[in-house]
Amino acid sequence: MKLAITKEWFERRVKLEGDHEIAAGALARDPAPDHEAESMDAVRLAFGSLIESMRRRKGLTIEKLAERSEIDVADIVRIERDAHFRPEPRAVYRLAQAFDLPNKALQQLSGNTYAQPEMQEHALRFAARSGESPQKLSRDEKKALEEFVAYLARQ
Amino acid sequence: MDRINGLLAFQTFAIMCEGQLQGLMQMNSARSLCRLPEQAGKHLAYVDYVETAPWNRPNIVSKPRFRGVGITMIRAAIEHSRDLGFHGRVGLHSLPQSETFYANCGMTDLGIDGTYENLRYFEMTSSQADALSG
Repeated sequence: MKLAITKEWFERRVKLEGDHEIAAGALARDPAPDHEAESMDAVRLAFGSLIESMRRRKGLTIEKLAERSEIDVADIVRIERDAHFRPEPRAVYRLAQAFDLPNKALQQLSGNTYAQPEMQEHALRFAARSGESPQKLSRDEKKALEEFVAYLARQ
Repeated sequence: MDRINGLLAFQTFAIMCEGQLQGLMQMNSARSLCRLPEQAGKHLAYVDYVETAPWNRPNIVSKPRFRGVGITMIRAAIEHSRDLGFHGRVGLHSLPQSETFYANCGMTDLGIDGTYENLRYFEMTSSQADALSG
């Protein structure tokens, strides 16, 4: 096939395009955002905050926690700060052991298993109440952490 | 697309620029026949799929890197149709956000197609193809 497009033709015809999209065929459809996935993201966010708060409460650096729980430093950084990172069930299990938290509930928070709506609600509330200061936990943060841990323990 | 690799009825076009893929189109010359009354039942080159890279889309980025990917693809579809002996006859189902573009190209709007995900079907006659490529 010969495609002899002159510059003149191109400049004249490109105007037809304007700011319009050119997509055709069902395959060109962008994937629709999944609402369930969004609420799961909030749960995963709470998981990151929980691990960070627990670590700070114990006065551990990321490095120390990595050493103790035998998880890669990079993985812990991503667990705490990257809500799209899905940690391995094994790593979640080690964290549950390191912080003496129920493994089943942590697997739900980490996104490895499905979190019930009630769990989602508690997780979201916890995420909203925990700050990002690298220093010691504030009294409010400590309270939020204790409440959430108590809730997880009841699961 | 792996499944149709090597099949003659499925011609695929890619626009490469600066080492990157800027747009992709898949044609199908054996899918359907013309629907417009004036050319009903004749063969056409059907656009199974066409899309431009996300960084070329004004609705995603404020400054698209390349313009003209779409019009170039439509021109390619017309030339492909001519090569097949279909005289520039082209058909496609437009996504809602692209309908104005195909109307601008001079294609005839045959309305929402309930048999294909409720997408609007557009068809180009050979004289419309001549007008656009001239």
